[in-house]
Amino acid sequence: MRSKKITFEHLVPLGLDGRKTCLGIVTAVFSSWVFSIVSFLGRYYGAHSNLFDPWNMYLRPGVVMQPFFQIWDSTSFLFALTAFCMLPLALWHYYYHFRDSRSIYLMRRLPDRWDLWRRCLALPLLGLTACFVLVVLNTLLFYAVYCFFTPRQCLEPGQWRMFWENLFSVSVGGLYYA
Amino acid sequence: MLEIKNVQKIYYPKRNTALDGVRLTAAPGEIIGLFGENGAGKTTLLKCILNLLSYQGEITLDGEPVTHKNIERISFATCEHSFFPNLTPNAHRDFYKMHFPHWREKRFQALLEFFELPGNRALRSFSTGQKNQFEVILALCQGADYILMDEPFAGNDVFNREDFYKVLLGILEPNETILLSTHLLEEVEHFVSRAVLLRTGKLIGDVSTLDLEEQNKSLMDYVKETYRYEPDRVSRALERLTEDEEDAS
Repeated sequence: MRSKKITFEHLVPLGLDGRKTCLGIVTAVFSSWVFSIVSFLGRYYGAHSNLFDPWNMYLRPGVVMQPFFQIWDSTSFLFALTAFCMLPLALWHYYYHFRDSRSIYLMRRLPDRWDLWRRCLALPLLGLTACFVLVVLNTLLFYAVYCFFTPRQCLEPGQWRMFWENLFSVSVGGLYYA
Repeated sequence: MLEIKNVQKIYYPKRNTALDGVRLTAAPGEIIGLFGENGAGKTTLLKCILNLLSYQGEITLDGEPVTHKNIERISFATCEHSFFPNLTPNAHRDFYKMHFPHWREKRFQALLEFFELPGNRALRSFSTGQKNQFEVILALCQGADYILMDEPFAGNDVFNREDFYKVLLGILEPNETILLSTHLLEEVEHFVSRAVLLRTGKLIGDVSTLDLEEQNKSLMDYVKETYRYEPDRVSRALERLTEDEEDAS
């Protein structure tokens, strides 16, 4: 009888502890999330404080808030690192089938041809997806915080457009230098 | 019927031809010994049958190409071992049962018992002989019609191997076909029904053991004859060596 129930053990190579791997990924993603929030709030608080005169807490005349992109920048560093670690994890899962035996021969001749790939890629892809979704949600949340708590007269127009332009130039620049 | 038609395998980038136009047919119930020197292409042929390697030519199972749809009809036991060392025999049974609908539970239990293999101990703690035994047990219990074995007894003692041949002959059903690659010619002579010889990727001999018996020839004689083995090769080499040493002194 073919089992339909998918458990953690079905998402890692046979003999590896699925719960431990999953716990590791959840811990890494959660830490990245906490780091991202703390890092953003710290940077935002610093930029926000700079708008005011430190002695009487009045807005400095003509002062402009630091652009959103600069505050957001590097808050997702741990997410990027966690997402990057998913690649070695997937490679390790595949390599595991060559360790001490050639269980890859068994996995490659299973009638269910996706079982090998599910076991190698499922958790790394879930980790990667979780990182991506949380980065998007955090960015939206941070942007809302940025717009809501920054005095309107200090906001430069076109923040969202600037964000995408900078993100794109950083990505292209990163690729160029890579 | 397993049909291998004009199969060619070239390993890149060195362009080593491992199989060169191999043609072979394995009918249900046959026990075929696959013989040849190291590098003759025995392992490569078995891996091509299982689609573990890409190849040119055609390999069919009852007229259909071997794919994930009919791969369950072929099992594989290899000296490299294809089990998971961290798992127990019972965990392997559960995994095989999940994937192979014709799993032979009764045979599995009987063989584990016969070879006195513990069901609840991780395979990494088994001896090499026990690991080989378990590898073959898995291949026999998958419920496959075609059982491919690549040097399955490398590391087992002679008594153990004898036991295995006897057990195999006792439990195999008429529709089960075995393709056994081995160097142990004399041992499997009475076990196989047909001998296939490979040399540098080419099929150079294919004979039934019944024919050999009628010709009053042993399998070893047939192999030596087909390989054009020179019996005085060793003595000539030794003579040359001793001549060189005398000249040097």
